[in-house]
Amino acid sequence: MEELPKAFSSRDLEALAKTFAKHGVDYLIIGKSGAIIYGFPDTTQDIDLFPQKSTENGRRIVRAMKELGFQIDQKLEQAILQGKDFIQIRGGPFDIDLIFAPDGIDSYGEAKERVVRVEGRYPVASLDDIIRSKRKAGRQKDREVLGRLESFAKYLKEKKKGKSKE
Amino acid sequence: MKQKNIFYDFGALSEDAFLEKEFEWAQKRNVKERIAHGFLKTYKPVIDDEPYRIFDRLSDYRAWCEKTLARWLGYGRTP
Repeated sequence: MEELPKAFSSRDLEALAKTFAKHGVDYLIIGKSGAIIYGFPDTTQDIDLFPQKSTENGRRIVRAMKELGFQIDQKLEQAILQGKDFIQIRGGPFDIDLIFAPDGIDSYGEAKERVVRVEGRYPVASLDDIIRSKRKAGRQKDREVLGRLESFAKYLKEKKKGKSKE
Repeated sequence: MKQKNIFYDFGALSEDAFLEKEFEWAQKRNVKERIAHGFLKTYKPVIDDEPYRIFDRLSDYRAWCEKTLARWLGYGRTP
């Protein structure tokens, strides 16, 4: 039987967080991958990262990704250093999208102020930012998930409100 | 975590109540379990055929998706 392709695993997430922290990479996890880390019951294929755009942060990303086992050639390295809006990487140990300018999020700094460190170590953009970005992207696959995602955000807010009342 | 009961409620609860129950279950999972349930890998034609792609602007990427990818993949914009 043909072997199933390897999906992104919790070990990959752990390695990514650890290696990015070691190299001081400034980034947020966004997209459906971020929502799943919050506990949104759905599926995705790749992890989406929103890195801070600067040459220095780009250098850190390159160092960290090489350590994780990604083959970064000169063209890809230049694109990361320059912070090209969208870089889709499929040839590494796992699928990853680097999105330096996600839809619907005006500033990295502001998004970072709203970051949630899930389990204290995974920096995930706020669910509101993830929803805003998906709404703005307006693709068929975003539209399909938005209703459930908004209900999930509402559920988490009510749960939090309930907890603070206790 | 064994998730044995929730789907017995399918059809017996309103859509909102079922959704809430599903969220409750999902919240009981830790990140490790969320990743195990939430990430799967299937081949996506064209997207998976190159080791990487670079787009200067996000709008270039969106245009490329519209022009190149099969509609059923869902990357096209909706009106």
